[in-house]
Amino acid sequence: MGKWENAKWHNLAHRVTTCAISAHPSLVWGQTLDLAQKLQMANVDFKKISKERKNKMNTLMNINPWRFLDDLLDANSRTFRNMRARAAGRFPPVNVFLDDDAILIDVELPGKTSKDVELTLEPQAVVLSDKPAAQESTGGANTSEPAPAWSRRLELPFRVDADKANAKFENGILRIELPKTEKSGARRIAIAG
Amino acid sequence: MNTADYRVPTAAITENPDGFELKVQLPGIGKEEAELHMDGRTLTLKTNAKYQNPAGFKQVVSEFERENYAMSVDLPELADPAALTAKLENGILLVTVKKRPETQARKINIL
Repeated sequence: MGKWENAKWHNLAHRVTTCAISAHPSLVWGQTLDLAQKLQMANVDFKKISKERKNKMNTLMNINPWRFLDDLLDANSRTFRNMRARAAGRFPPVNVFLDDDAILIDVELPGKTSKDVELTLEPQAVVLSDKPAAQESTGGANTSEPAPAWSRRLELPFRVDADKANAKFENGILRIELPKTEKSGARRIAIAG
Repeated sequence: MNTADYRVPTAAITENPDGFELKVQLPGIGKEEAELHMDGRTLTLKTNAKYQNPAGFKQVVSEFERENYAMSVDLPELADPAALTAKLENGILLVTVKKRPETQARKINIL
């Protein structure tokens, strides 16, 4: 291998490793390494590169080291959207307690009364939402600008008895009691024929 | 007082021509569980609710804490600590304090 070839290899390896290293999880962003360290970390196989150089080099070079950071910092990702909704107070936080035959749901709604919240029971879920039309009638404890509309659906682990369910506001905390329905056990089905 | 057991509540203070309004979010706190003290111009709030998770239940979702609250706020220079009223309703504490009469805007008659 001539001197010119050597220099080419050096240059190539450097470019490849810079690319691969950029996304290496053990590196602190902005940390600098000398070439030997980079090669060691990237585990560069020179023979493999030379074999693949002719056809695969383009794909290797197309790795975008910023892509994973983009995903991480994507302000519109699901995680961030939920965090923003919580931060904006768009839906109230809940505490859920579970027993063998009942569910207790506590909802933090300071300043709200039964007139402001709507509760709908589905066979195996409960939907909480605000009633914007009733917001004017809450009196002194209301803010000047209307709170954003929200709705929250909580899936339940078992079917609940809608007739025995009850909900009560106490000092700005709504407690919903949902007893398990007795019929939720196994059911025998007659086989015809 | 053990400060680790207390949380500073969300609060907002607004000014209107007659006085100031302090609105504090105290979810889960009843009227007899909150204490207000006035010392000079410092208003101190402390709650002593004894909340316990429902017995026999397992908590499966925890998005908010049932804690006691403590905060203190220095009322503005214009406020009159003697003319202070407090109302706790549905987990919101509303403290209204009037401005001192001598600091209020008034009309001056031209002779």
